[in-house]
Amino acid sequence: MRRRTFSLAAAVSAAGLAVSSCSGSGGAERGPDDELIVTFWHSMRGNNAEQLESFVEEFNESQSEIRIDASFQGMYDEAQTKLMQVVGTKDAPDLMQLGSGAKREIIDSGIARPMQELIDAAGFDTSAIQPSILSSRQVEGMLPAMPQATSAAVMFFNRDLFEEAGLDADAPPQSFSEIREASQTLVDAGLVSQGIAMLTDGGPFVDMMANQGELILDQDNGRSGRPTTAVFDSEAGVETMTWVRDMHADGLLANFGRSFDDLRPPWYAGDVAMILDTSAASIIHDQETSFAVGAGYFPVPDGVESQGSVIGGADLWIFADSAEETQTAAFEFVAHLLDPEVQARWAAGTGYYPITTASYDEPVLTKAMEEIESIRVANEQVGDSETSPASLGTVSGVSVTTYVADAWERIYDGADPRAELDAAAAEVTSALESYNDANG
Amino acid sequence: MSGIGYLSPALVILGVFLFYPLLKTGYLSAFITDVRGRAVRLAGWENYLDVLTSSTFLPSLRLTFLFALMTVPSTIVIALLLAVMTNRRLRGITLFRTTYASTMAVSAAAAAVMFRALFHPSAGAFNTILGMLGLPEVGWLTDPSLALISVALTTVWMSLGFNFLVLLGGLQSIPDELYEAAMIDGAGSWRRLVHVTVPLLSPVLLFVGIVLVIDSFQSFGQIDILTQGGPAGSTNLIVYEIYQNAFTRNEVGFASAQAVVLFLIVLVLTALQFKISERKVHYQ
Repeated sequence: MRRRTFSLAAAVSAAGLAVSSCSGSGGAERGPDDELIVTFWHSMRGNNAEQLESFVEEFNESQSEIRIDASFQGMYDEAQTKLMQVVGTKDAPDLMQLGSGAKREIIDSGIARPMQELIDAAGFDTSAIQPSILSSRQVEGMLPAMPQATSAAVMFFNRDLFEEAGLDADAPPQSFSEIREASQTLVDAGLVSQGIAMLTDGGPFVDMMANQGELILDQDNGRSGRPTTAVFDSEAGVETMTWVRDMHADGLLANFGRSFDDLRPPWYAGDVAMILDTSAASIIHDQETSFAVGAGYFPVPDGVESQGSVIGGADLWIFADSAEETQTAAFEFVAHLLDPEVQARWAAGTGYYPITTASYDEPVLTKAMEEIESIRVANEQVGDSETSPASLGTVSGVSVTTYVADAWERIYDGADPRAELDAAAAEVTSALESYNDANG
Repeated sequence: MSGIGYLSPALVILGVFLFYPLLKTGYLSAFITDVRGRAVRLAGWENYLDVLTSSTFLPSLRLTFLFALMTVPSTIVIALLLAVMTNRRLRGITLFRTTYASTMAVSAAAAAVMFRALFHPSAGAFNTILGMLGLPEVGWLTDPSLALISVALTTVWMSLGFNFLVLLGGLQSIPDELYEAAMIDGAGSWRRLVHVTVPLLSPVLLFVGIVLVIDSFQSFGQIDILTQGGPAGSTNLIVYEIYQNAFTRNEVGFASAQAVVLFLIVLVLTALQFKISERKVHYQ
């Protein structure tokens, strides 16, 4: 009797273990009408999510063989973490939008189907893509993923406050000293608590460095080989962070932390006149503000010519675990999103700029560029951008920004910019070393 | 043998969700791992040496102890105070009991989102109140010297409900005769609290203390939402440090070694709490 109970218990335990280990992917998933189901994860919220989901709906209604099943999975970083936990199980997506900084990690993880293979198989013409976007997204001459949303770093400002303070809203400040003067004027006039606000998450530093043509990592920002050393603790880096520290110490630059959700409301409320943000928020700002919104280029040190913004945004990835026919179906949807007309509506409806050059011939976009200043500024900036390794952004398995963020906050707290940048660069270098050791 | 049969459901669940991950963590801690968290090369003690020499682990550990000191005693004192106050037969007392216990029903994420709005530098209620009182505004979550206190405040609020309820349950099991006897002996309310309530409540206090210490060592949700370990690492508590290494820096082997060290620390702390309290706790 006892023995039987024990063997029963053993069987139950074994069954429990078997259940928990039973997963993994099978063939292509199909819906009730035999349509292929493509699970699509994205990181768009609010207005930008509505725009993206309307394209999904359009695509689903336009044909009956493929159904795109789209869902929001958190911001880029959260979604990427989630992906890494489910990859290899049936919960993993077939298609996913990931931040453009994820390239190196996703390639090294080996979980993606190289997009270039699907591009070649479908005969998709990549010369339709704006040249600067193409070079920023290529790794070793290939596209590992398809660029889908590209944004510029933009300074938004409150035109009404500028006019009240007697500043020229048609010639927004751009150099370090111009921004300081404008902030001082606004604060002295009692119109705002502080002139400008920017995130401490490290992003604005990286963007300001690119804007002055300065590198973040060696190997041309990781574009001519795997980066091994951080170089952002250069004279330019120190000058930039010293300006930031002095602006903050003099009460001209506000600190609302690391999140856009905390940065934007005070600007909407008129507590600050300028914010450093992304062009992808153009329509969101248009909807949220009750004042006239102006837009200008990102700050540069005095006497330095602006090189244009890093091409930020997101790419679409298709995963190797998905069935071949699901991958092909997913690519069909990707190609649909790259249609110049779709890209033009996407750009006009969000503030991302279009991937395809032909989108600029679409009236919907030219009209939006006339009406919304930030969309015009972002698109002009793309035209102005040099495609140097600095402006193309980094390709690296180590995310530089979190290290810079810690340094940034210590600098606000009184630490020396040079010492902090040196320490952060040393940490990034050591992180690159371990990354290359484990994934090289 | 049949004992094992009865235990098997619990063993299976613990095995799958506790012992297996624990062993796997121990295993991974001895390896260098790739971007997907797979073991690629045996590292031996290398990860452990890195943990002890890393510039973030020991500060993070120090912060965690500080955080436990900020949250555990204050939660116990406030929860006990509320429990003593509501342990009376008054009209409408259930309303107060329900209110004080209600933070239990709020998840860490929801509470943190709420507090984040309250802490906002320019739009938050706390700074608005300071402004109305003519006091200077402060950076609740953006000032490195204040952020840990703000997170602790949120955590105390979050854990108040459950601990209040447990302590109230403990209080209600203390027989009235003991209080009557103490009153006849002329003990005032303070002496009754110190000499009757606290000793008789000591098993419950021990339980609450241990659970709170473990909880404070495992705080994660509120940090992820409020500060993400910042500003300048001032709220980078140990579990958040482990999370960042494992999931944003993709160093699972190193993070596993940190997790094992944390496990050993909590184990020792808990054993210590039992040992010390053995002499102080009265079981009826």
